[in-house]
Amino acid sequence: MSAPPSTAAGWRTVTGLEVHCQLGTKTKLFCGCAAEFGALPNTHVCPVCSGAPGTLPVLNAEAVRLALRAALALGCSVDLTSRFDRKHYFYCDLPKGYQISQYARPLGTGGGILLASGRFVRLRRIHLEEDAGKAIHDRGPETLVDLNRAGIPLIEIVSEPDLESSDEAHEYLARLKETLQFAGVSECDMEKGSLRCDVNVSVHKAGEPWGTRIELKNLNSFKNVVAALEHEVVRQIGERESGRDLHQETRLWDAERGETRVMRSKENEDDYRYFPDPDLPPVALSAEDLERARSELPELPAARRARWQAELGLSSYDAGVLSASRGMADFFEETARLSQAPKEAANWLANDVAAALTEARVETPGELGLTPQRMSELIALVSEGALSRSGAKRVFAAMLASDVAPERLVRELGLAQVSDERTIEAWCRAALKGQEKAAADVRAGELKALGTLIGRVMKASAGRANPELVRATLLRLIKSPLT
Amino acid sequence: MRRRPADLSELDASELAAQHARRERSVRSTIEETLAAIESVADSLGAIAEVLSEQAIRRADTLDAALQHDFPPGSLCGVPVVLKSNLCLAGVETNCGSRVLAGYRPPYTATVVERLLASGAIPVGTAHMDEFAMGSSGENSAYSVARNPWDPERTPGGSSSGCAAAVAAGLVPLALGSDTGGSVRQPAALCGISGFKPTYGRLSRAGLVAFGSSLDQIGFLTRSVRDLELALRALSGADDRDSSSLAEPPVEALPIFTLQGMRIGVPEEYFGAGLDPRVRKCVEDALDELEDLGAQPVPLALPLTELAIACYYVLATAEAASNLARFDGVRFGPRSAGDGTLAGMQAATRSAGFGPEVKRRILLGTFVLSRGYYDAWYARATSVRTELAAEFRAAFEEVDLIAGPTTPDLAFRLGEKSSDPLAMYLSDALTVPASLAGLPAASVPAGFALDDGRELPVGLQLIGPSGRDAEVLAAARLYQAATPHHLRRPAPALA
Amino acid sequence: MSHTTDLESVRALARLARLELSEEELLRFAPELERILDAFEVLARPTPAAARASGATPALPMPAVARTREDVPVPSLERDALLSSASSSADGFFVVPKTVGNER
Repeated sequence: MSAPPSTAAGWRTVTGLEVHCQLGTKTKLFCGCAAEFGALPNTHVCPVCSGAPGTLPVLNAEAVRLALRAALALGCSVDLTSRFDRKHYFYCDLPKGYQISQYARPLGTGGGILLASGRFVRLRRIHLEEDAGKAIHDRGPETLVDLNRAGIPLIEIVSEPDLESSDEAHEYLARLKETLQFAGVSECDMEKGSLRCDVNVSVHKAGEPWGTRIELKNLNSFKNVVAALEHEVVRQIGERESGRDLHQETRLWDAERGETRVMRSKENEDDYRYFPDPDLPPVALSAEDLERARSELPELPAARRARWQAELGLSSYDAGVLSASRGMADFFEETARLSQAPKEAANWLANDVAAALTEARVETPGELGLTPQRMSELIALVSEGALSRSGAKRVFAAMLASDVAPERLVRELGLAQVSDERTIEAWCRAALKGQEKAAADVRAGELKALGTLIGRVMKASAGRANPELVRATLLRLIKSPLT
Repeated sequence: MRRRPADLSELDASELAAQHARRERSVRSTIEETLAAIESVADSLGAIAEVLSEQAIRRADTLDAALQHDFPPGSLCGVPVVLKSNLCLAGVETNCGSRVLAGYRPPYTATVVERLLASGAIPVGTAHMDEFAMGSSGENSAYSVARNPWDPERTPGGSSSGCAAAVAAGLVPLALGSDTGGSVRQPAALCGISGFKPTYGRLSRAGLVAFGSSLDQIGFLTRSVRDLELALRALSGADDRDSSSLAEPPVEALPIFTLQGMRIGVPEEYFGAGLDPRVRKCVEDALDELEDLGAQPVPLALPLTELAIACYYVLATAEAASNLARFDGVRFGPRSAGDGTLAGMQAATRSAGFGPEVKRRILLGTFVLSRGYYDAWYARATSVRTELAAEFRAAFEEVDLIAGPTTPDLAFRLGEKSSDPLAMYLSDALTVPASLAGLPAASVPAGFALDDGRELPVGLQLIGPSGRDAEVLAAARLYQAATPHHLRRPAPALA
Repeated sequence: MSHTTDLESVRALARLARLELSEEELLRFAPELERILDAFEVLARPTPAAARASGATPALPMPAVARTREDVPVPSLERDALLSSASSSADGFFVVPKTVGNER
């Protein structure tokens, strides 16, 4: 385990993250309203999620299944009879005046995430809860309330304060996101609000007791989490070094100004008056439920990366790129299987496809119009010698633009690679005409001259000559001039 | 066939529904007579909050037409019913006796009310009640205090005050109320009518505005026990909208039943020093009657009874404080501006909207859940509750039913206890145990006692094991068949 | 078991419960709550059965079987019907006074 980076001489930081993740269900946690993003305000609201008098919550079975999968994917111990508690506070976006959450008996405890450095970040708990609505403060003299989000199913994942730098925080979030995505639990898209993160951070001098914990909120991207954390650590160290005490409080990150501001003091911390929700029976799970959830778990990213490196000989860089999303990972595995050429598949996907994804701002090759079948055909054409590498790049570009089979594109673009020995020899002889000096250089060991000669053949063949054959043929002709 | 209005008040729901089904009586005429009777006591009884004349007449006409075309009549065909003001009926003001919900019309109908409508019953009015079902006298209503038809200076009980008054005054044969700690049984006893609180979960709570979620049950107030059975059959059964509802089919009545050899537990704690001797006399006579019918009274000790009131109020107020947190002026109900901030508006709205008893209970409930006090109060009460339920289960190994007085007193005068909240709480002592244990319990008229020259009703309570709703009602029915008390009517002096 | 029902404690409870009590109400409620809680101290008495609660799950008379629904969307309320109950609404939103500085 590497030594924790020190931000300033002798100071250490202690960080824990609280992540709220929206489960990928079609409806809300306790009612059948659609859980749709971006709808017109208050169009997905019913008496239950708006807290109308006389209404009662009814639990969404799929939400429980997904939450269970998340708990298992993160290695948690599952409580087979977790239960719901009411968490009370007053706010305009909390219709019942309490949030249905899990306090005393959460769905899962323990588990954790392994970072590349080998540090294991432990989880404290994972639990189910409903989201609140949205209050909009910046549209006029009054506050506007939209209850579309009220009742959306969330899991809250709380880590132990095991993180010691902003880099680790970033990595933790990335690993958490990919795990949950791979498990099919959530999209984990911070921009769509399906992933939110609060940070708890304190600083202390090495060897001394931990400092006061301060909470940071309003972090809406991984970048902001890192920026806010770094800024706050500097701020806290500055305060402490100036001899000032720090008080437990909640601070908001202002991305524009690049600073944190006090939101509210936690000295008189909210008394949420938790008690078991009398309207809901315990979330009773059976051993079968657990087994089924376990069997529904796909191979998770870390395990896949390890397997690819061990069995397929991929580099850790390539493994990382290929496991960036479930879509990419599944696509790679299928392409590797169909083509029986995993290294080639990895090469194409980690480079050409990855670049195309970035350019098009999508996450999965499918969204580019590619299929594992087509990619494997392309790979086959190259390995059979029917297409040169540079030709293949042109075919790939064409595949992005249209849904045509690679073989046909090769014909349409006239890229069929020539591997016929006699044709190649004819081109080579033609290229060598009048190039005695170059030939002599090659004989003397100057490979640059060989490259030039190859270039001449490629030009003469409009790129279609099989470059390996050209090279071999030129060398043969140069080395034995009399044929 | 024209009948005089007085006759209508003689009929129970079962007979009335049968007469409608046999087309001996038109539903319209029943409803018209009912509405007229309600009108005649509108100023004196204080029972009915809103009269639903238009929709009642409309439903009556529709039903009569359907009957003419030989459509099969529902089991409560044409029966006029009064609904406590905490039961949601879409489009009808459901204010729970509180200003905080003044003018509130729910966008949906309670499951039990939907089933009621499907059975052919016709809501003719909503009933006044103690605010948010908190009270035992009707005096905590923000709108009107209902009167006991046996003596208008006295309470009809609470919190289903208007319901009990309406049935006792002969306005309707059936009212739907709610019972959290006795709010159906106690008014039934004080008004000389039959009342029933089923096993917890037997009737769906979807659409009943919550007070104490783990205690609330919809209950019935009727002229006869067979009406209680009829209503239970029509309205019970699992409901997907209520996760606490029992996953069981509707309860069928037990027409063949005998009290022969039935062991009836008589807890000594229910006959303690606080019991009015006149009530004791009536109930002891009732126990003798049961014995004549073949039952075997068995002395019983339920020592945890003395903790029941405290246990009940700690749990009920905690749940109430939680359930009433949604009343903040944001999404429904009237609003008070306060200091112009969100928090100020919420506080001002709640303070202007809630009456003193509700505020008291919210403060109590907040206290027992607050940090530092939760373990000693709420958690402890939960633990005591478990023990109480276990005590009943053990008792039911020795006996089949438990009997005793429904209330410790006769109907008290309005104003007598309203300045002493604790005294009011203690009057629930005999009904809260069955609520805490979720057991089915009925109250039936067991006689009368004289107080200050007035004859006032006394109720006998029968409590059964969890799930044995049919048995409790069958036993009550047999008792009632052998006694005349339920047939007496208060003098029509209220007009 | 203990309880404090001095004026300050009752004020604090009122704040937690979002109630604005007048001085008169405070002076009335505090002694009433005191009397009531004194009477309820009976709960602290040790009980003979000393039944152990199973884990932390309280004994509620409710079915122990989880009741769930399938993840199938159901039509929501018409927005007009939803907003018509509210004192103040505009442009499809509920309208409330501004919160002072994100205070809850």
